[in-house]
Amino acid sequence: MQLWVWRHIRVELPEDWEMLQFSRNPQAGRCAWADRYRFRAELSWQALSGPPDLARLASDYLAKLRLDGTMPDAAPVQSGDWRGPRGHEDGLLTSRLSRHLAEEGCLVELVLLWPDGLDPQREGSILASIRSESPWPHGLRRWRAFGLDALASGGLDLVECKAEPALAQLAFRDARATREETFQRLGMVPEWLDGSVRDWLVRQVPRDLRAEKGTFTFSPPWGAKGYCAEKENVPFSAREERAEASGHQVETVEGLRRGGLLRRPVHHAAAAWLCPSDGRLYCVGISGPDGADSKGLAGTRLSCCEGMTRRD
Amino acid sequence: MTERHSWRRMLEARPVRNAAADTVREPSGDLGIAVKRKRPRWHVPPLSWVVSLKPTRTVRLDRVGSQVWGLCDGERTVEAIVDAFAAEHRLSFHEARVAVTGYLSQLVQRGALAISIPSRNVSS
Repeated sequence: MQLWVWRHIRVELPEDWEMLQFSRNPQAGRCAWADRYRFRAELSWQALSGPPDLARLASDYLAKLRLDGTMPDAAPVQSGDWRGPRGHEDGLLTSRLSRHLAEEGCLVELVLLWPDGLDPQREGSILASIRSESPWPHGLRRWRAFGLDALASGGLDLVECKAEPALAQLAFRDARATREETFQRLGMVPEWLDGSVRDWLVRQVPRDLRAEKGTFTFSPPWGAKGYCAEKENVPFSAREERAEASGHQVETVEGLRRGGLLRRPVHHAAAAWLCPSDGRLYCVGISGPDGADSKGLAGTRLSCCEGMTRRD
Repeated sequence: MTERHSWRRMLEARPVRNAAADTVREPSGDLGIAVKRKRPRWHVPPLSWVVSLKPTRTVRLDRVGSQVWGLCDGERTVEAIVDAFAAEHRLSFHEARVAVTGYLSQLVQRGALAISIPSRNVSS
């Protein structure tokens, strides 16, 4: 089973089910997963001001599905806190189960399609896996999808999500656009990476980045050796470092973006590395007024595989 | 999310190369596929004496596109091509599916490929 965390809701689904549709709206939205041949699961959420009368909702829904012919053989099902109908929709056995997630203040509905017949054990394990993902220390919120396992600061909105072949990106921003966090996972690296990861990372940083004043002390959290880059190789005057974390060669850069008449200076920190286990390039970038430590990004804010940091 | 949302039939299809297409490996490493064009109905004398049309149209494929073209041998299904592409580039199945079907669709539109779709089983 593979863990997905989206909109602070976690669900474990079979390894070969991939998320093909998603919503960024935390109030109401849905995600859908598919196996090779068809959609298999859909998780939708609707924010509520209080707990719903789930028994009544389920019975009304059942009656509606029978009445309008969507699911003529709909039968009520209850599994733990989950309630809803199960029956055939367009000839395909379908479970539509709902429950209230009190921690998230929302009603969630899970739709499962069973083209090869009902698998009660699989249904039970999927239902049991759905729960709220609690905030991490320092208010960080976890998002896990498309091979990214990211911890974004609390209070940020998911403003952009790209899921394209060989490109997964999650971008978070606060309402005043003062803080931005971006997590990327890039595939087919030999096809497009014509230099080193370090060169690539340097090309990604904002042009107006410059080094912060102060002395630099480097003590990577994973206890490996690290060093400062040669300054003459750096096209901007920000600090650039490299370290190794569990077989991952992590390149980092951090500096201060100049302020302006109407703009406060912004601290920027980024880290990038190639994961030897899947051959993908991972990158995390954080911009904000309160500063971020580039050394703490790899493995903590973004991890690529179990080899880097174990979280579960 | 119903039965009609299955893409199994698409995956069972078999891309077949246009037998009349010629491939040329260009110095840049890209692959050029020259596909014969149908002469337009209006292209007759005396207009054809003054308006010249190339008899072929060339489709250029980058390295990745060339790999997809190479996998279209008339035997492999789209699913097999997607699997091979995914293994080659360490992509997930659906990542590879989106990339491969994008290339296939362009090649079909430009006449370099045809798609052979298996007949539907009447009893099913």
